[in-house]
Amino acid sequence: MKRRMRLFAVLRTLWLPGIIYVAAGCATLFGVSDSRIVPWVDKRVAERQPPASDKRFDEIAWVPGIRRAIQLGTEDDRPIFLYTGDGKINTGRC
Amino acid sequence: MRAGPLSDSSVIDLLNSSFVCVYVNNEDYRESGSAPADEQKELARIREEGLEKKLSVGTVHAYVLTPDGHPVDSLHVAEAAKPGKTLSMLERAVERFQPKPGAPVMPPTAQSSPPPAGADSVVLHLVSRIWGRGSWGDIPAENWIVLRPKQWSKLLPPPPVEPGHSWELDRDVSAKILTYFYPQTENNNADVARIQNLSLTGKVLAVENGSATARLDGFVEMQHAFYAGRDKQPLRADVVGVLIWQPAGPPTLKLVTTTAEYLGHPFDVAVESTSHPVP
Repeated sequence: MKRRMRLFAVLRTLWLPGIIYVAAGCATLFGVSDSRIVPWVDKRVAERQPPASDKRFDEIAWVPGIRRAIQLGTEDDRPIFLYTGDGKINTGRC
Repeated sequence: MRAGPLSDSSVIDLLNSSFVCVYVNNEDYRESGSAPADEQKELARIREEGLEKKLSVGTVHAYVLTPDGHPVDSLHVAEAAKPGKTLSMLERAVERFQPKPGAPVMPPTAQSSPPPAGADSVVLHLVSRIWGRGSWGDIPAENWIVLRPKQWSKLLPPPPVEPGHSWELDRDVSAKILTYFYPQTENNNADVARIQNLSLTGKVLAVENGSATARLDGFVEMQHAFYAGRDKQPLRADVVGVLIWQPAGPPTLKLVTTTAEYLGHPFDVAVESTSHPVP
């Protein structure tokens, strides 16, 4: 009797989520149904884009290259700010 | 620096009104780097002059140069990132050179933008951000991935393209994308050899009006070092996505992580096809 109860408990554990899963129309391991996957992915892609507060670096008028900076510095009589870094500071891979 | 002084309004305003600003990625300025030889020589000269003037000189530094390009002040990044340090250095330069404040020397533009690629290529924009790792998580990381027709065509299923049809996407092309599924780390070696296991499976959901839509499910497991040259740690990311294509022309692709973890911290990745300049 105990063994039968234990078997029932195991089967209930395995079957119940399976029944719910199939009833919800989920044909894949990940729990978003096929019918909802396109808007679900669209929403996550949109949410994960860097907000403007992460892109303040782009508000600085960066000049492409040291020689161009010296040319403009001389023309406009402005000092030059130079940042040197490992990786790519512009993509955040640094 | 990006999350600190280079996102500070006072610093940004002063840089734009009174300075000419330039940044260099050291890799581009090494002997085998992509920067022109004349550019590399200029950086080497600035560093040599800085040493002669007993300024702080090194690979990760902020410098102030005279208008004609000679170093007069500098800060190691550890100092430059401290509140007020970079601003103080800039204010010293303004005091010294008395530049006439005005408009930026050129309009600010996006510094991370899609690379030029053929009209028939797919250009993917990837954004990755780790959570709960302090300043490392402040600014998300980005990558641009270019898939040429020979590559993206391998993502599509063999015929017949019918709802319910499943297929395994090409492993090499999948690896070219999934190898960038890592958070912000100092090491940015994205060699596909780091990947131990991956899978991307497609399932056609609909074929309507000459357009097919498929969902993608998969994962990637790799060994990735936080610091270059140090021990690698395991990373796993589970992903889902959507692939839409027509018989002619490149597909559109979106991928997102559902769960992803590295060094005990969760991270999120999103990838999407974007428009790009054509050379």
